[in-house]
Amino acid sequence: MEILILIGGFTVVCLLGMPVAYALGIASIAAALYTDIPLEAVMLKVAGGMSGFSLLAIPFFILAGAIMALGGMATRLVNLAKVFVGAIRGGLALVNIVASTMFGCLSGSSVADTAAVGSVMIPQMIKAGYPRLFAVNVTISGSLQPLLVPPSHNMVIYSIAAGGTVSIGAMFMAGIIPTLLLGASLVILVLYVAKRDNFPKGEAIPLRQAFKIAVDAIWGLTTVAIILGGITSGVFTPTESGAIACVWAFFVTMFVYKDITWAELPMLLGRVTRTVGMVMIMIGFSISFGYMMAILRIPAIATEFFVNISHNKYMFLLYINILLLALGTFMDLAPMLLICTPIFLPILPAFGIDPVHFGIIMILNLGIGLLTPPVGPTMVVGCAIGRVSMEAVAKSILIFYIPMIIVLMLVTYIPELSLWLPRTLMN
Amino acid sequence: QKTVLKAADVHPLGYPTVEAVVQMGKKLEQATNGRLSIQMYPSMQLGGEKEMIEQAQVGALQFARVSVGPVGAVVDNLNVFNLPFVFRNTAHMRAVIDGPIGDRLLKEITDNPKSGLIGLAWMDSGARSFYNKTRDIKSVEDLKGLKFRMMGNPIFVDTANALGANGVAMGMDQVMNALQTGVVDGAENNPPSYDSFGHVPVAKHYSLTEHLIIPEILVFSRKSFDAMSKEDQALIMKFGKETQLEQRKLWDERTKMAMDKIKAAGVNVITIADKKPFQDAVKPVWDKYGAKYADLVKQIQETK
Amino acid sequence: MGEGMVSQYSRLMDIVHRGCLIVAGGCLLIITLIIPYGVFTRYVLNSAASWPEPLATLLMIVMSFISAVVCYREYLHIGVGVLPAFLNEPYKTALGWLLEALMLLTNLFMLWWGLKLVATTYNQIIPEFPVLSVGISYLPVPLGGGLTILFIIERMMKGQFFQEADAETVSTLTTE
Ligand code: NA
Ligand code: NA
Repeated sequence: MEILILIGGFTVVCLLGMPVAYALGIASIAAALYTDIPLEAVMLKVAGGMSGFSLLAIPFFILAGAIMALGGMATRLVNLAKVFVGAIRGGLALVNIVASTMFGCLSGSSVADTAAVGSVMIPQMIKAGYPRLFAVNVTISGSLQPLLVPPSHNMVIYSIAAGGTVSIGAMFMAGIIPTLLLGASLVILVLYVAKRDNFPKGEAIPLRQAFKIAVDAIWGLTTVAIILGGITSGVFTPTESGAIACVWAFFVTMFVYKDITWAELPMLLGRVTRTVGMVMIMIGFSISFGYMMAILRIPAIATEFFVNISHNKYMFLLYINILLLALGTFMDLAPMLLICTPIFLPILPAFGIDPVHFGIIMILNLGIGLLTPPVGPTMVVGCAIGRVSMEAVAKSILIFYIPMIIVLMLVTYIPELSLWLPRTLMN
Repeated sequence: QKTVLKAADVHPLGYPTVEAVVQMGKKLEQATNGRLSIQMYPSMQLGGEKEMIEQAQVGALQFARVSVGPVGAVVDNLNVFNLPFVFRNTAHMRAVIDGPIGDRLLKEITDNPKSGLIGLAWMDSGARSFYNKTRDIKSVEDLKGLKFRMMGNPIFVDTANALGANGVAMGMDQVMNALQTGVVDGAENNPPSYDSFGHVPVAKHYSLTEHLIIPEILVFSRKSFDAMSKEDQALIMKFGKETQLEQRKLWDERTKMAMDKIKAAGVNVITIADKKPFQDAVKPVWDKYGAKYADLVKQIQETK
Repeated sequence: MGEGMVSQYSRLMDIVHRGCLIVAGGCLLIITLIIPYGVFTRYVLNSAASWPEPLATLLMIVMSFISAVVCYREYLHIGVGVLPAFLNEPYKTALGWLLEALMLLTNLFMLWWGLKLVATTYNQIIPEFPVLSVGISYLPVPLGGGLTILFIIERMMKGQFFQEADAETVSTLTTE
């Protein structure tokens, strides 16, 4: 009965349209009332859940991404991408994908990437003769990549949801090969479609100009070096790396690129606090929800259930993937990570699955959900920027799901794709 | 009317402190014909020690096994155990907590209106000793210049510094990485933790300095306690006290097992015959932090 | 209820809204400066200051609860929101009332039990940051609850339940 109140109550009020954060809150409160847990304990968890030091990385990563997006970092990276792949048939589409690979290392957010790269690339692609829908689809599909590389705050959220047992540094390392695979698979798809539909070719960029573009982009790329280098060398914690990256990015954008002004600073802070507010309140309530789940021993019950229905690792992973893909169409990435991680994590040892590997599977899988109706923020933003309807995108994006699902399966069934890099670099 | 009492610990199932409370639950169940039982939530399922204490204060959980640190913020006398070499050895520590000083400090927790807790029992968590990846530590001089990870409290960092080493405060989750990258040369812990954190293959010089011997505490929620009948209260107190000796047995077994494993892994375990030079070296730490516990320290030292 | 009273209340709420934004933005600015300062003390001054970390954590909690209040007023909170699209009046308005009633309930719990939590833990000291008590660190819970209630009342007065968030704001927010 208590479990029904908690899980069922949450599902019902959530579907009715209550914000996810408060739906988690009221379900926890109801379950606590029913089981005689003092409500102070629920409130304690809401605030206490936010107080881990590593959670501080979230505002910093979001702020760093926002500074990059507001300044001309995206344009500079698009230019750099043009140097590499601009001259091939379908070149601009490839530029779009490669720019997302690079910009991903700055924003860590699929929506920010769509907004930043899309607003530069979609108009350019349309002008060059690409179909509008294709331009939007390439943009939002490419925006899966930032979820898996630093400074993805979703990886921080996973690490938090895992009770701090998963190292953020290891997650960052683990995401790199899957991201490159994702980019490569999209490139193959685009090359195929470009040939089939005879898309335009771009121009080659002269070497001298290419050099200048590369130098111009290097300042931004140093931010990534700070984050990755700081964490892997142990000089900074992920949180400190995030904060220093913010200060550095601000310095570069303000004094080197001169892209933002002091007057824009309050607006920038306002934006970031709103995002942080949305994410953190959800984290807070999901921690209290997770607390009630722990009290009611739901993870233990779920473990028993999954161990009973799936007799091996491969079937278990398949079930989980299908379940997450289905849930991901309705729910966003962050709340799903927060709700599902504490349930699945205790099951992993029984099947011999590494939590870092599992985190990559979850984030990739749920990331695909960001590109599906009815609830898909990346898709919504892509549609808004490309000025197309969600229905049209939903129909035409189907072919783009193929490479994503293939990569998801590869990542699911070849753990080394995720684990080789962290093992090699961190041991 | 059946009542399930909740217990929490940061350690996993099977760890001596966890196992002791689980066994206490079985005794409680037997003694009350199943009316009272204990549900254990191990492995930080309900949060870290600070949150466990707060949950006990509001009555959301009943038993919490915690370190001296977070309770010491309210009952200052507990902090006397944080002083380096305050005990001569493990046997001395056990004599102290089993005797009037141990009882008095538990009572201080219970009687302090700010704590919101009942002090039930002491739990053994062994003696902490230095391990590092560079050299065997046989004398104080051997510690010179080595960087050791210490627990966050300034007194521990000062202890390392007083011994001629460099103390670096960091969270336990960062230590492995820090050892590998050379941010620290070593750390210090009891044998079971040295083994279970996987530091043995990385840092193979272990010297039994036993500089810190800090017992842990089993507390009970004051709010829940007050709501119980006199008989049940007495039962909780009685079984709580009994668990102190039972946990000790489990701890000794665990330590022996860990020690065998550490030796089998090729670690050179060094016994320090004369700890006097080490004890003398930490004198500045005593001067800085120990003065206000002078009476208590005297009683501890007089305990045979 | 008089039209004038509603708009007067709404104007008052505009001020509260603005105040929340300033406090939250200020918190963000401070934490972005003090964490690098902590690193600076560790590597340059060679003695790690212990206060930046707990202070930053505390400020982040304040910022989170306060900006969550802003997000409520601006219809920014993440929700599933499929059902309302399928409903016609008067069912949609009824659903709106129901959801706001649930929000009000949740925030009342936050206010009341949050205050009780503050009272219970008021004597507990944060060891790394002795000037503050644990109770103070939980103050953002009732504060956030109380402020959200003010805005829920405003929304109920106006009856504007399923508004779309400002498109421009959404496109600059980067949650996922
Ligand atoms: Na993109
Ligand atoms: Na979706």
